[in-house]
Amino acid sequence: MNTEGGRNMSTIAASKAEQAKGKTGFSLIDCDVHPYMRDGLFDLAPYMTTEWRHRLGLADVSGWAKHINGGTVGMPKNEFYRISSGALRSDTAPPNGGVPGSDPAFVAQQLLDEYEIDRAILIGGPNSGHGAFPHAPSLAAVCSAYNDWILDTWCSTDKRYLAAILVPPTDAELAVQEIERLADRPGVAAIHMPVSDIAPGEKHFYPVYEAAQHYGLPIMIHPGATESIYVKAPRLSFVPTFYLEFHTLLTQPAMSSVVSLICHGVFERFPRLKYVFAECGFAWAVDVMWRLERDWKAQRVEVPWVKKHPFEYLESNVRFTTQPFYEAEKREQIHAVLDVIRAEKTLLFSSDYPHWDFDDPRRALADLPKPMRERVFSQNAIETFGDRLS
Amino acid sequence: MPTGKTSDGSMRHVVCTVDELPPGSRKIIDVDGRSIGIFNIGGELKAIRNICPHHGAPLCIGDLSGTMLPSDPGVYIYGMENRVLRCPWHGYEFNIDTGRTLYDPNDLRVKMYPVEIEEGRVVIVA
Repeated sequence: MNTEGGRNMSTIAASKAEQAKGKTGFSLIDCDVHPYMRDGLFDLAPYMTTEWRHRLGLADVSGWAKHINGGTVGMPKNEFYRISSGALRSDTAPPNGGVPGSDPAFVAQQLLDEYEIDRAILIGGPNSGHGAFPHAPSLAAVCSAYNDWILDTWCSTDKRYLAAILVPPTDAELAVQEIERLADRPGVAAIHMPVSDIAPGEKHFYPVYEAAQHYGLPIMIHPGATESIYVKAPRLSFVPTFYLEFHTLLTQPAMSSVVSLICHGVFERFPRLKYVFAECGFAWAVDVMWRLERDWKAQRVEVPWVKKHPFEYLESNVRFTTQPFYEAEKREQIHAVLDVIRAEKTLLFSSDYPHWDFDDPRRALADLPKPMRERVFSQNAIETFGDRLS
Repeated sequence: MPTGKTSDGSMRHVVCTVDELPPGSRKIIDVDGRSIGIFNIGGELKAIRNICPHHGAPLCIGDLSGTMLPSDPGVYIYGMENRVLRCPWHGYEFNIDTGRTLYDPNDLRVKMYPVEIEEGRVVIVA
């Protein structure tokens, strides 16, 4: 978009000053930041029992075995698509070496300090596709180790970092155990539930939702980068050939998820549950919600527990993060979309640092209507995550 | 066949004799260019405008039945037997006692008319 950086910066500064008078004092909350492990699952080995280290092949593994199929356990990830622009922003590699997004101090400097971000929700960079892993107890062990690692090496070093704790979507009992183990730990703000082939409205997840509601932890969903690659990952329509196709279409499971949640009455069962769709887009919700709203009027007999207009559940329970924010031809087009999806309640700022398609809060959201800026930059997140941010 | 003006300007109209509208039947009549359906639901008479406020379909040729009542998730409760008029086009359900849509009583509403029996004749005020 054609935007004047100076003007936007001053708008943010003015908005910040205004918000500083508010209760929390937070003026910018980033709801999708990706920490990376320097050495993959091997970073998590110290947080696992001896049994799990051996079971997963993370103990006594020689250097070359790491790179051979079957030498160590591998978690589902994008196996097909090369990202020509580079998967991660090339300037995010820490000065002392290592993987981008792997040094909490450098991320704090490059992201939090630079943009005056008050709080950042951490969603593990490589973890969003873990739901396709076939053995739930192994996945649960990885989730627990990741959670202890992120709390220990990130959240305890800087109070601005807050963890979306990872749980195994394929075993609700193990997921609930993990939520109960960590719900009261400082630094925990949400539950990151990796995508799988189970529709979010299914009964399978109700114990997880019950725990999430009980502890006031929003459920966060993020594209897995495993879609249509693994059998237990969500499927896209057809298997894309190019990364450009794949990345464009990663919003498909989110569409199905919103419809599934509303039609199964999840927000009637769990009225205080918040469901955050991170990096899943939101303009599609215009089409999907309009279709659902119209069809529901005639088909309500099939789902008589959907007692309210579908849009009411969207406003009260569903949240979307902003990145990658749309670059529309006209500002008015964006405004129309924001109006339909109730963005003044549903939209949360996110940068997606350190991914290649990072959104700079000073520039990427220049098309947001002024009265909505404060809500999107901070207030909606404060209402969604509540005391967990403090 | 107007039978006299009421205080609000509506007219009383004789529809038919009671014998011509037995329980379980309905008639659709024209009243000064307005199409109106009169239903005998087990002896109880209802008169309702024959235009769906959604897209203008002939509402009164739709099914009169019951529906799934608002319920807890996963639970089906059938009720309102013979109180729900379902539009023949898009299937919108109307409560035949109120003329209001089932999915949201504050959304669409279809006009209803007083109906009574006078000296063996069905009379509506419209």
